[in-house]
Amino acid sequence: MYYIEVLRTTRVYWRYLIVAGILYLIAGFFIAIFPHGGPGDTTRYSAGGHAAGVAFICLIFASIAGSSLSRHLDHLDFALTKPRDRTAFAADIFGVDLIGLTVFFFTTALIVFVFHVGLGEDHPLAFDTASWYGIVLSFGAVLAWYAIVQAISCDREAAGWALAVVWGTAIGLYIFGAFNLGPGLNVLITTLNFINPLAYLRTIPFEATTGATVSLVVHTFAIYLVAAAAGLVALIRWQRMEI
Amino acid sequence: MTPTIEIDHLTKRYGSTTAVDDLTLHVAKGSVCGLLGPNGAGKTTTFKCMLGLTRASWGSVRFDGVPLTAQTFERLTYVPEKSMLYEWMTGAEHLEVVRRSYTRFDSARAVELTALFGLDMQKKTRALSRGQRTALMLVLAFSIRPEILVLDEPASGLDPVHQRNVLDLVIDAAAGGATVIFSSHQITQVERAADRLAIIKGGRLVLEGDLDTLKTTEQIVEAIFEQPPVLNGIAMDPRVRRVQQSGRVVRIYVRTDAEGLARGLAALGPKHVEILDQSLEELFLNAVSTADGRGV
Repeated sequence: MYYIEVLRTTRVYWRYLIVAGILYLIAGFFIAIFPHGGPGDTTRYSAGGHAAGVAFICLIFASIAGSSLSRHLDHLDFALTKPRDRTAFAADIFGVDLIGLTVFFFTTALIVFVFHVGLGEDHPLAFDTASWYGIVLSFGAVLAWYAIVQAISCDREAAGWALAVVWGTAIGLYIFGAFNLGPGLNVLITTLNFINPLAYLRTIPFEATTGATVSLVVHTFAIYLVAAAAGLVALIRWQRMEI
Repeated sequence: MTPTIEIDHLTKRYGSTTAVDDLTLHVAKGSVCGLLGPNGAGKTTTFKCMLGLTRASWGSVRFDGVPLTAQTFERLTYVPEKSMLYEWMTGAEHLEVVRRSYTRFDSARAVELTALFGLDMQKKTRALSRGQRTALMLVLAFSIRPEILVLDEPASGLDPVHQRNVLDLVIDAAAGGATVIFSSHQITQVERAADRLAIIKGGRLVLEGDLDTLKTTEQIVEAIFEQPPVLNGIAMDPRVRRVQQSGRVVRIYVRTDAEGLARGLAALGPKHVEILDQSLEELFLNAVSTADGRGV
């Protein structure tokens, strides 16, 4: 069924490219008029920090792609009566979406980089060790987001509510994570933030540093575990679903 | 010979509701089995259980003696009652999905079927009428030259010409050795295409057997009287299954010895007595009005 997914994802790409093109033109216009930095400002920004920004944009695409199993629910009598078992069906979809997310992430990063360099941004990007971890973590956050949306929406025809829950919860936890709300709530929010991709993005340094901290390295590995676990949950729920 | 489709003691419960109740049905190779039943009888649930779309609570389904696997779909096709096509895809794109999915896809057959139903394959599904969607599903289903066909209301929404085309396709497939099980609300369609009949009601199989045999095993003695007669005790006769009286007309559904009963009825002085074979419609109405199952 990857053919259907390729058709669908291609349509999403085109819509993305149109919207992204408009957004980048607007952004480029403002960057050109109001260049950052100035004489004496020697701040160097981490490429990992940029990747975190790129990841945030990509979460929108991951939200759309993450409801791809749900989008097949109205068509399962057609889709699941083919010589392909459910796991293979889901694997097809995950595969196409993974390629889509990768292309989307690096295309977005490239466009941001082009604007950064080409349109008056004075600060050079640092590609230090922490930056590389930051880039890998950022991509992992996008994958984890995709997998979490899949896990929640895969057996629900209306994926919109799942997206509202994921975005609302993630942003809420991200914001409340910065406040001291008392020992009980702090523990709860910290625990829930272990599966919150937004919270992981916060650990990436935006300014150039000398090396990767232990926390950054641990978070980089952990986000892929979150992605894998959520993907597994999605697969199990999909497998068990009845029409 | 092992039947191509073996449904044994199939039961599906949703909480306290039993949608399919201990259903056993075997369909032999090359046979067309018409599945009839009132709305909500469990026909679609039976199909979904057969195809693994929903899990049976109990019982088993086998195809050529083997439980359903993904590979079974290489030679099995399913046309659901409602269009399950992708609204944003064209007919040609759906056909491409099928072409990529099946090794036995026959593109010449697909072209032939598309022409038969007069479909514009470049149209998106959302632009198709209900009948055209059904026709597209049939094109997709028959273009793989399936050996097993599971068809849920396959002529639904089609005009009479295309309804006939569907039945011809079913008969042609069976003549070529395919095994077909199909449901329909239209008794005439079942009568034309099926050689076996299964009637379910409330999830239970209430009548099953060879269509021609079923029609002759139970006969109707119809009598017309001058005045509405008093039929004391006739309903208690062991030969009689049911008595239907409408004014001066009496119809007695007889299990055995219709001639003997007609002679007995003649003693009451009717204007006219006749022994009739049951039509499929009567067979169906009788089966669903009583719940005593039997096989032939």
